[in-house]
Parts: sequence; C-alpha cells; structure tokens
Amino acid sequence: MKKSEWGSTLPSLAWLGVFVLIPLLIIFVIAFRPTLPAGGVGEGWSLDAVRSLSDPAYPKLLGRTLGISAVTTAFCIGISLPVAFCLARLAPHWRSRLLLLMVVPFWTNFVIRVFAWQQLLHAEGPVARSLRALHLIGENDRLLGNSTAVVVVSVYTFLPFAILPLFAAAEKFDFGLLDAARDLGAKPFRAFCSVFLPGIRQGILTAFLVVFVPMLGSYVVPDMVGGADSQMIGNRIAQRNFNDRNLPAAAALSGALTLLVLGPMLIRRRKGAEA
Amino acid sequence: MPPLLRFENVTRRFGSFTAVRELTLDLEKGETFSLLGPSGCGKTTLLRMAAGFDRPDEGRILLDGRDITHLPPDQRPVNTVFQSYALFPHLSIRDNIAFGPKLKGWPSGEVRRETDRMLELVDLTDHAAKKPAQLSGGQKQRVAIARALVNKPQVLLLDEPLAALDLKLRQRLLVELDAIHDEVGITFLYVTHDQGEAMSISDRIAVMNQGIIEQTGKPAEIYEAPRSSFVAAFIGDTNFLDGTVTTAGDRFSRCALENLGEIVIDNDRTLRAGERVHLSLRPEKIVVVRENPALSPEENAIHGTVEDVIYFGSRTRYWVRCGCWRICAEMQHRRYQLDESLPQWGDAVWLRWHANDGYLLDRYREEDEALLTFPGEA
Repeated sequence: MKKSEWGSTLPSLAWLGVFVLIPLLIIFVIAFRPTLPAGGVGEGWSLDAVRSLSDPAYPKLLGRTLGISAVTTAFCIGISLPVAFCLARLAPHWRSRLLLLMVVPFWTNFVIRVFAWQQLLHAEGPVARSLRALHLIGENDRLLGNSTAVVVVSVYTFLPFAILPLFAAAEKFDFGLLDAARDLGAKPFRAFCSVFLPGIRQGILTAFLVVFVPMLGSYVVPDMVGGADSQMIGNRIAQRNFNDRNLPAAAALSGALTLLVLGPMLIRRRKGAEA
Repeated sequence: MPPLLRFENVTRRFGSFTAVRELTLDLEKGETFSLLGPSGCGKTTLLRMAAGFDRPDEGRILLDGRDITHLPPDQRPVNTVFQSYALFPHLSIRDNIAFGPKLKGWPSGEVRRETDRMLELVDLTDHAAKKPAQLSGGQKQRVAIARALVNKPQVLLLDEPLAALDLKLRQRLLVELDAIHDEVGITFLYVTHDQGEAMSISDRIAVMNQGIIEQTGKPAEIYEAPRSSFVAAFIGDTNFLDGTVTTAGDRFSRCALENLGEIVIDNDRTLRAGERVHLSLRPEKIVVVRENPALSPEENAIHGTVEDVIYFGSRTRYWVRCGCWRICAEMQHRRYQLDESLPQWGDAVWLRWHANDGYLLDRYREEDEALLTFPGEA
C-alpha cells in the first residue's frame, strides 16, 4: 500500500480496531477470568469458564444453531436467486422502484416487525385460523414456539440482505451467455444452473456470509417466536449473561462461536492464497 | 432439391416497428449465405428467428422441410456464433467447446475426440486449458466458432462475428472462416453490415433494407447488376443518372440527360419513349481521357471539368463537373504513371463508358443517394 492509501484507510482501520478488534480481545480475556458469586468479573486467571464449554447440552445446542442457520440461509438464497435474476432483467426504472419497495418494510424497527410476526403466527392469529379452516393444521398445532417459526421469521428478516448482493452480481452478469447456453442445447433451468449460477458465485458467497454468520449469533428471533426446543447459542449466551450473571462463561461461549466461524474462513483464505 | 433453410412470408413486429416484413428466403445446403444491410434493417432479427431466440408474428421457418418456427433454441439443429463471443468465463476453452456435446450426452471418449478435433481446426490446441479472459479477441472468436461447429449443426448462424475485431485480424479470420467452411461443408448464414466481408465470403448475398430483401444474388450479380438504388449505393460506390427515353430500341436505347445531351443505355427490359429511367454507373467503369475519343455506337462520352482528385495509390478518384451533374470516376494505375500524365484539378476531360457498364434500376429512391460517400449534385 502506498502512503496516501494508508492515510485514507486509517479512519476505517481505527474504527475496526476500536469497535471490533478490542472488544473481541476483551471477550477472549474475560473468558479466562474467574466469576464472582455476586456476578461480575474477578481478578486473576481461571479456566472455569472454558471448562464450562464441555457442558453436555452444548453439542446439541450447537447442532441446532448450525441447523437453523443453514436452513434459513438456504431458504434466503433459494428465494433470492430468482428474485435477483428477474430484477436484473427488468427495465432500470422498474428495477429501482421494486428495490425500494423491498427495502421500505425495513424502515420499521426490527423488534416491532418480530412482534408483528408474533401476532400473525399467534394461535388465534389470521394465519393459524386460515390454516385450521383449511384443515392444514390440527386444533392443537401451534405455529409459534418452534424452530419452524424461528426459520420463517429469520428468512423474512434476512431476505433483503441476501437479495442485494445477489442482485448486484446478477446486474453485472452477461445474459447473452444464457442465449449461448440455450443455443448449445441447454434447457432454461439447465442454462440457469450451469451458466447463471457460476456467473454470480461471488454474490452467492457474499449472500451466504451475510446471512449465515449473523444467524449463528441470532438471539432476538428465537427468543420471541421460538420455544424451549428452538433455543440457539445466542440465547444461551444471553442467559449466562443476564440470568446467571456469569460473564466469563458467556464470554467463553461467545469466543468459541467466533472461533468456529472465523476458523474455516481463515483456513479457506490460507488455501486460497497458496493456490 | 428443396432448400435447407426456408423463411416463408416471415413478419416480425416490435410494437409499431416492423423489423421483418413478409420475407421469403431460401438457403441451399452447403452454401455461405450472407444477410447484408445497414443496422436496423432486420438482418439480426431474422438470424435470431432462425436460432430460436425470437419467433415470427406471421409466416414460418422450415429446416430441411420440417417446420421449426416454434421450436425452442435448444431443440434446433442450428448453432450460433455471437458477435460478443458469449464464451462462458468460468470454463476453460476445452470445456467451452465441450459444453454442447456434454449436454447432448455424447460418450466421454467422443466428446474428447471431437473437442480435440475442433481445437485443432481453429488452431488453439495449445490454449485448451486457458480461460476465455486469457485469450485475444481473434482467439476468442475462433473458440466461439469451434464451440458452435462441434455440435455439427445443419446451419451455422454467424452474427457479425468479426465486427469487434480490427481490420487486419478481420481479413485474416475471414480467410480462415472460408477455409473452415470448405473443410466442414456446413451451411453458413452470415449476418454483416460490411459489404467487403459479405462479398468475399459469400456464395450468395441477400441485401436487406427496412425489413425486406432488396435483392438476392451472387456477389458479382449484386455488384454489377443492382436492381435498386439502395443496392447500388450500399454496395460500393456509384453515380445515379436519370433521364428520359428518347428512342427505345431492342437492345440499346437512347436517353436524354438534363442539359447534357443524349446517352446510349443498355435496356435489359422493354422501354417506351418518354419513360423516365434511372441508371447506376460505377465510378471504375468510367474512363477519364483528355481528348474527345472516337466512339462506337454503344459508347458514351461526356465533357466536363475535374473538380476534385483523390489519389489512393493503386487508383485515383476524380469528381468531374458535367453541366449540372457531378460525376465520380475512378482509374486504376496498371502501369507506372507520373502525376503529370494524369488529369489534374481544373483540366477539361472526357468521361467515356460503354452502354453495358451503366445499369438500369428497377427501383429508385432519392434518399438512397445519401448512402453515397460523396453524393453527386443533381
């Protein structure tokens, strides 16, 4: 990097350092501190918090967190791909209007939108009543308080974050390539899979990261629309923090999750650099 | 023998614009056929309809006697070479070429063999593992040709395949394309706006304008015997002369040009005295001489003054003022000639041509004169 480039990058580097890197380090440090009986972090060093990670409940919790995140990410990308494809093929003035319409609901506060979903999916809410009337669900089936509700609301929440990077990639895609694939004998869906998807793979990767990674730390949605069997790691961290007042245990769990996400990405990066 | 590809009364409209109008066209097996015309004349629309990317509003398209009008592109035994190449950027050159055969489920040995054969045909064997981004424009275009040809199409559709390349490369690829055609013997439908390309590569040419075919014929027929003012002006350069028939004859008639006297014309159709006729006279058919020449009865000579001279090396172009006419003449320099021996600016000269060298137009439109590089002032 040139000197002038350092100058212009410095503010963002400083921002990242102060608000991301240092807090992250603090979390890792706290994970190795003892906890005080009254709550709060004690002096000296202790491995108690790290040892608490061997809780037999954690593997199941981790599995569920990964599962819910993966399913949500899959739905988000699955829905966003055709949306991005169609948006990119629209006339520009329609495109910007539809993008705006897509973003408008997100001007409402996130928590309020999740409350709205609570009302929608409530046992006496419009969705449950309609489904019961159509005999698609039984009298005692519930829409709220399970993993499905968590996935549905999470997909709703993260959809624009998946659509935007995919649309950005699709907009740069040369749709003449689809003609070429069709010309060479590919049916429309085949052309979509073997030419369009590889053509926007960078966008797919970005969409995956911006949905999957925040999903792993998801806490509000499972708390509000999920039940006991759809708790995620985020809920446990919150519980350790607010209920147990055990900050080191919360920090250890949080740090472990960070390493879990960061690890594969760093290895990938290393491999990419070697290749 | 029935035609291999047939457009039958094909019409295609886009809103209020008619891109192709009740057009009928036959392609013979094995020929290189060019659609030549300015942008917006409907030639690309016609090609896209042959490929299946577009459907005619009326009429039908037959391939080898079979109606393919409503067949999707993936089910037509035709392949396209796109102007922008449209190579798949994420695949190697080899995989680009193998794309079609793999889709068709050829055995892997055959895919490999045919791909190798195509790589060799377009001389890119050494580049097989590269990605399209690593190739030059000319190489990309050769990949596009190989990728289409490997499927053994009944017709290869080429959409301005050389338009994105520079002149020298264009000329070289044109020769290569011709050689490939000789080798594979597949029917080529070649779309271009470049008359030079069309002339040099085609067995036959259809000159298109505003959604219709103005004329179909061998390159020499199109050039030497243009039936309309559009064809005469779009292909090469020409002079338009118009006059009134004074004496109608069997083979030759006489015709009066405005304030220039009478000339003799070759009438390949029956003329009546008093009829108004339009004539196309190519610049290189006219001989510029200094002295009033002795003429046979079928020859013309008109007197004028040289107004402009442009020296091109192998030839010289003169604009000669003859009364109210401004006529363009062109002379080849076959022998070593010093400048002084050639007519100069301001010289009084005679323009001489044989009646056979002027060509009577069936259709004349005044706006076509705008297509001439230096329109003569009438």
